[in-house]
Amino acid sequence: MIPRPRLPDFKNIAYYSGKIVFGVGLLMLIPLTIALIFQEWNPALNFLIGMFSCFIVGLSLQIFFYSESDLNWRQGLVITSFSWILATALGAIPHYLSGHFGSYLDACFDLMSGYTTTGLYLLQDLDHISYALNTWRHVLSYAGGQGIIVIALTFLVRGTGGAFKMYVAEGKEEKLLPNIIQTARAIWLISLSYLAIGWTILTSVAIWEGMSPVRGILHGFWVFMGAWSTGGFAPQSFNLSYYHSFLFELATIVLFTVGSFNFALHWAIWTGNKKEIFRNIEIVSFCVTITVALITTSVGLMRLNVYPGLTALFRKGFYHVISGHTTTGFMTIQSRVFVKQWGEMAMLGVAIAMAIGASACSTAGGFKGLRMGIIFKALIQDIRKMLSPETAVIIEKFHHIKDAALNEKHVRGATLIVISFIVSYAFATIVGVYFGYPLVEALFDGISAGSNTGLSCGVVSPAMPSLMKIVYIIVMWLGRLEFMSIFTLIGFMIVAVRGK
Amino acid sequence: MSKYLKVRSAKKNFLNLVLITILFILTFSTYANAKIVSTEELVENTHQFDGKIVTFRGEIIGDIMVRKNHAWIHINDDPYAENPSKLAGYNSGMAIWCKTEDAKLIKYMGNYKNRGDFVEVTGVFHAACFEHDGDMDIHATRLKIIETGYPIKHEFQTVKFWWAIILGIIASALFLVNKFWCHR
Repeated sequence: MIPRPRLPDFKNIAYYSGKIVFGVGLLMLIPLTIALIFQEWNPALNFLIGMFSCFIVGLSLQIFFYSESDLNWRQGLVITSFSWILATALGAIPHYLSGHFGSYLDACFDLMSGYTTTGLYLLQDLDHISYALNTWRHVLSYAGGQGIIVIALTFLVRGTGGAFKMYVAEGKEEKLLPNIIQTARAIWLISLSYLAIGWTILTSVAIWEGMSPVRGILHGFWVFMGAWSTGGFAPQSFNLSYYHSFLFELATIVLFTVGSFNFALHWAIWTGNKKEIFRNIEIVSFCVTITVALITTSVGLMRLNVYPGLTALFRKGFYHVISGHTTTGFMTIQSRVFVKQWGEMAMLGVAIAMAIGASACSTAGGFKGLRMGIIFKALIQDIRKMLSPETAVIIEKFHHIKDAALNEKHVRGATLIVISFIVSYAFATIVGVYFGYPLVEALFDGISAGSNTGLSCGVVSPAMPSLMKIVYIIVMWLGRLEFMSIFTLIGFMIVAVRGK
Repeated sequence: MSKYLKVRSAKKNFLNLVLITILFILTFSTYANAKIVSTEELVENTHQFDGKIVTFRGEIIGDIMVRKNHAWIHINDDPYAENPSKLAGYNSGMAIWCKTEDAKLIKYMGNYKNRGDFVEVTGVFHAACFEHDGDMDIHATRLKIIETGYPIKHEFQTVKFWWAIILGIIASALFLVNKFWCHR
């Protein structure tokens, strides 16, 4: 029997959710500053209203549900999933007030897409939005990529044992350092260091390719955040095709590929263990699966003779495979080109890449390379068992930061999450087909939403039925938090209502 | 000999005249027949329009990115490009490769502070351009400014200002309560 939640449970959940919402309000200081610098007075008011709303809700929760007790696992999981909903609803205020959304639901869709680093959007007239709003869209991705809980742990939550529970609930399990607060700070150290490097490179290329210095600096900042966080939001409606630059595309490939690596791998390299990159199971798995996806896509494109020459094939075919595999979602083609020019075979290659996704404990989504590697190793182990004498003990090992012997717990954990992802993709696809979209298109965008990628073949648009928008919001949320914390929230609510 | 040369020269002139007339008629008729197309029509019917001369209309947005004697510009043809007050459509447009001298005619590029010039471009549509590594673009042979853009006046929203003040006061009060009452 599951115990019914008591007042201390609700107090802890509300108190810590309040802290996280307060943190979201603080994040709005960044676009607010941009609005003031560029004298965008109405957007500045939108952000002031949004920020004060976050502060009021956040502080009220902290005052009325003040708590000093530490968190248990159930509370940690519920806080994370619940605070993501609150952060979405309140973070959408500046979006909605900008006047670029057909409804508040559309604004919430973009918020969830930003936090989950998906990159799908319903914002209309993107090319006329303020610098402040564009900054907010990209800050959302950057913050969501590291994890809004990680932000709260870094700046707002003092060292508690419960901090680890919230951290795990956000889809990150690995401790880079013994202390979880230090781990959160290490993640920020890595991300901010890459921000300095990536921003400089992208700005230089943008100016070199003909942009004005101010616009180049802003675009460098925005695109870096979209790339590093594997978010996929771009500042213009033409997405990455806006720049018409091979160099710019190469720079983004490097940034989002590195961004899709496990933070534990980053930390290992950061602390001098450079060989890890060649031995890590996730990198091996990534190389194998990207090859499969690339071959499938290339065969599809070459069969239909879509692109003239290898460079074009690289800039369009490879770019979308790697953008999909790292679950970034940057595009150098128009959405409908997938359907009208690429054909189903090439789309399948990209869909495979999106479904698998990149590394665990990173900014990326999808099944994750670690799980694919573990399941593959388990398959090999079973085949070896069948081929060996019955008395033989077959031990399969894998390397992820350190060597580990494969056991039932690893396989069960990986399989459960992969099955959950498949169900989530299927759910989004079925809903799309129900609303009349062709199966291939519904599947492509459904996988894109569920794996937090952001590539679209044209299904996602403001004209989508509202129910479908809600379903996409849910699958994006499920995919980013990797199910368990959301299942716990649902269970928590059921138990709270039913009593056991 | 000189008579022969004169006849030859007259023939040559006549042929040149005919050739020029044919070229003029062809060019004129091509422009005259170039259909005004939308992004949607181009993307949904790439085989029909690939390599053909098309005419495309819309608002210039973003930046002019000069690459030697040519430049990249982007034209947005969503419903709000023609009617800025109407929020409809979904961010559609086309990349245009034009001569730098034509790009220099553009006065306003669309962004938060400016409504971009509304232009009409005639040129060759490429579903996957060979010269630009597979980009979907239009190589403009003619760029005509139909309506010059203008700076957008964003009226200061007083209602929002007062909301911000009220919410700010409440947030400050709660901050003080949290700091000095809850953490005593």
